[in-house]
Amino acid sequence: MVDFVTYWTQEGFVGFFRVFWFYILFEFPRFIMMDYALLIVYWVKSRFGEKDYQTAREEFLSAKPLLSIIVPGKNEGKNYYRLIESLDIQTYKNFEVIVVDDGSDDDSSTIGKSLERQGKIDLFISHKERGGKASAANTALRYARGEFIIHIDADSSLKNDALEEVMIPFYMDSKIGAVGGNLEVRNPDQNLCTTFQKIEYNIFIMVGRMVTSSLGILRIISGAFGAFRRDALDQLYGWDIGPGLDGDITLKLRKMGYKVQFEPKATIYTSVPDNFLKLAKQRLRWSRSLIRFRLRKHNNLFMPFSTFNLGNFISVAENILFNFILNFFWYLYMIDIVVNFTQEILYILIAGVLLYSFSKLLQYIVVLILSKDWKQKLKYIIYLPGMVFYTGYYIRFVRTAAYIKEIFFKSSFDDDWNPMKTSIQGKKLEENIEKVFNRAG
Amino acid sequence: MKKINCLIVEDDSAFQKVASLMIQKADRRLNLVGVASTGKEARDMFNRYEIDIIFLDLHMPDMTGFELLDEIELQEDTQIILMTGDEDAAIKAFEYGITDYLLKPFSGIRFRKSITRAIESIQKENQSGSPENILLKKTLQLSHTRNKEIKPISSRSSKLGYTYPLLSINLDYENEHIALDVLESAEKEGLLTGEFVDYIYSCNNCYNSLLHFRESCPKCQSTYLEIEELVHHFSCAYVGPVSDFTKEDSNEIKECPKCKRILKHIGVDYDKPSVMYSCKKCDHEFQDPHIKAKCNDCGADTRVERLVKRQLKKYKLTKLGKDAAVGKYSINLKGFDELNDIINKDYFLRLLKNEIGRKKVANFDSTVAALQFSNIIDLYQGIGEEGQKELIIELFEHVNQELQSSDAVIFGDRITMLFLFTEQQEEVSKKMLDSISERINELVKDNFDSFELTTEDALMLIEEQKTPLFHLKELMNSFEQVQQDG
Repeated sequence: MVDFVTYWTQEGFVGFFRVFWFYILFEFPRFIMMDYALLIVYWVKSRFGEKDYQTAREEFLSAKPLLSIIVPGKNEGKNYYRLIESLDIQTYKNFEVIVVDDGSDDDSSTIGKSLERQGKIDLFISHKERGGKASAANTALRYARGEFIIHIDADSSLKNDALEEVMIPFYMDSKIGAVGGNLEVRNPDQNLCTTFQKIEYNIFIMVGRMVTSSLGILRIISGAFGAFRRDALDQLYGWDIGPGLDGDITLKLRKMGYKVQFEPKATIYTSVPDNFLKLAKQRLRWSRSLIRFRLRKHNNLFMPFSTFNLGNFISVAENILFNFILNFFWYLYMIDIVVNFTQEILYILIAGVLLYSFSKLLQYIVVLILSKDWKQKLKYIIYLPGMVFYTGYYIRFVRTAAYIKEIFFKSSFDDDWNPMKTSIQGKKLEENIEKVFNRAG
Repeated sequence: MKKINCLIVEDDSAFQKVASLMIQKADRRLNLVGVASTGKEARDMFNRYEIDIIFLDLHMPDMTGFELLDEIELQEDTQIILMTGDEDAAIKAFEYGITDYLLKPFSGIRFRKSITRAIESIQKENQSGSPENILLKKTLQLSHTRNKEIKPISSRSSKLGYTYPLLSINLDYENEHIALDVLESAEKEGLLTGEFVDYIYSCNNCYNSLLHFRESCPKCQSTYLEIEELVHHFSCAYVGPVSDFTKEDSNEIKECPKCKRILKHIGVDYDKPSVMYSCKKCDHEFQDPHIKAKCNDCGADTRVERLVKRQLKKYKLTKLGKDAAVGKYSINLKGFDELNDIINKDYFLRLLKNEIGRKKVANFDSTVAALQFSNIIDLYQGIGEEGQKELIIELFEHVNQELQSSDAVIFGDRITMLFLFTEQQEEVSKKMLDSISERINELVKDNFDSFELTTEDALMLIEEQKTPLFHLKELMNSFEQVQQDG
């Protein structure tokens, strides 16, 4: 202990900087500084923007547009009741519910048809052949009659004012094409894995997206809870094959000139994987989409064409920089530390844990300040040191594995998340597109 | 001339002699095989001889007449003439299906009347003269003499769409479906063996089999629907009806409206995951239409799930059937007795079960009630078996007319009427019950020499937690209580 203190007092600020330059140069500005900047922006907006919010709310309630709630999914029958119940208690009532069963092989079809007969679902569409999430969502879109489309995952349930809150931004700014809601973990206390994810969602999704949204560089409206202008979706003819189809369509909307916004007041509860293996698989799938869409499909964002737009560029660039480039860069940093500080590795480890724990605490304080239910969230502070290892090592490794697999093996196309028939066609299509652009360029 | 065997069961020796004399004098066909003083003797004699009529006293040293009836195996056509001084036993007696009831002391004339009735009963059984029996016998004869199976033949003019030779043409169009009942009953009796031919679906209102089947909108019931297949284009994930993909004139070449590519091979570029119906009347879009069948005769439009489904069979005669055809065995089909439909406790219990089920999902009062005619037995004695039947049928029809279409009435037994009043409060039901009771009294008084009918009534609200049988027992128990008090 004494040695530890002695070592660091010897090193001083310069030594500290030399060891933790990775944190100081990249992580601190991106996470801590931005978060606190956001706090200020938020405080200012809430003091002066309250009038706008109320006006928009009244406008929305008097316009009373029809919302189409679309719920595509496979084998989600067991979740239908919970979702329908949460829709029954919504403060806003003018909506229709369209559930699409994408080739389920359990009793989802029976459950859905029964709910349709009872009038709890307005239209239940059952495909006997599985077509993939995008095709299911597009089927619902084709038969939707609403002015706005709300895309929800079947295993979620909404907070009772979620519909109202997610719609108000549309009436605050007519240029907004899509609004993303906040995800909260439904089962945070189930085990360590779910608790970590709860904190992660709060820090990275809630606060993280609030930051990017207020900067105008929000890059994803989550498929778990997203609201879209119907005419915008019609122009795009709906979704394209996933995975990552929610990020893909967000980007397309931005390219079309629409703004996309995150609304933390609109909350939805979702179940998260309850063991680290399942979690790894989920994150592998999420990370692969970065390569596929940001780097390959939408790489025209980086080229100085006439379609160039600074906001779009930054939103994707930021994502690529912090998730992809820095991910690999971190390994170099690790090598630097291990090679140059082999003797003092223990002191560095302890100091690192302390530093990152404190950093996480700073981040979590932002969460508490911005949450209405901060009292309930207080008790998770004790997990923050554990979070250091969770995000610092576990998630990082999973991401790295995903990027490597996708870059070199295009494995997202082999993923059975989509049925093989669509993956083959999707792959062919992208290859054809590449060929065309190579020939032209 | 076949003898009619009689058995006297009576412990009073003086009365035994009187009864024996009366039997001998009444009719030459009667043959007294024995006189029993105890239940045990009676039982032994009954087992030894084939008895047609039992003259039964209720009170014997070792058991009551009822206990004896429980012990011996009665044939369906064994006539029982009860002789006793105990009036209250009458009500119980009917549960045993006695032919007649003689209240001691009774006159010779009365005795002769009862014997005549008993003999008539026996003869009727032998003649088996009901129309269904005659019809069946003729059909069996036809099949036997021509050595042919009884086969259904497809026929457009027949109500069921099939006709059975001889059997069907003798039934008028209204009742053609009875042919199936007759054959089914005959198979149960062991006269025929049946082999499955087909199933037929008939209108549940009029049993007609000529039905028009079509899909209808689940919302507005209209049959004006359009159906389209959905197409899923793999590479761009677009899904829409075939009409989205085809050009104006042709419906062959398919161009994707989203990505403009041509769809070539189903299963490779695209597939058809499902269909979508749209109702042209109310604009509703859906995947599962209701399939309805419209009856050609009565116009009733029912969902196919509710159609009556019956098995169509072809039949061969059994040995017993051949015997029946040549007259060695007399046909007596069960279930065609007219009173079976009117005196039917099971029917009441079934109705009650449905009503309880209905009550569970809605909020209304329903009541069950019973009227017991405590002295109607006296009346029955006077008018005989046929008269009894006619009276019961008439009372039933009369009350039926008084009731609302959703209510029901049925006889629980020959002296008790059971009622179901749906969606009525207790007071209203009580009033209805009282008025019905009055009407019956008037009817009886007018037609039967001012006979004063004494009636007991019982009424209770349906409790959805309790079984149908519970309700019936409660009603019947309340009568017994009154008797005990009185």
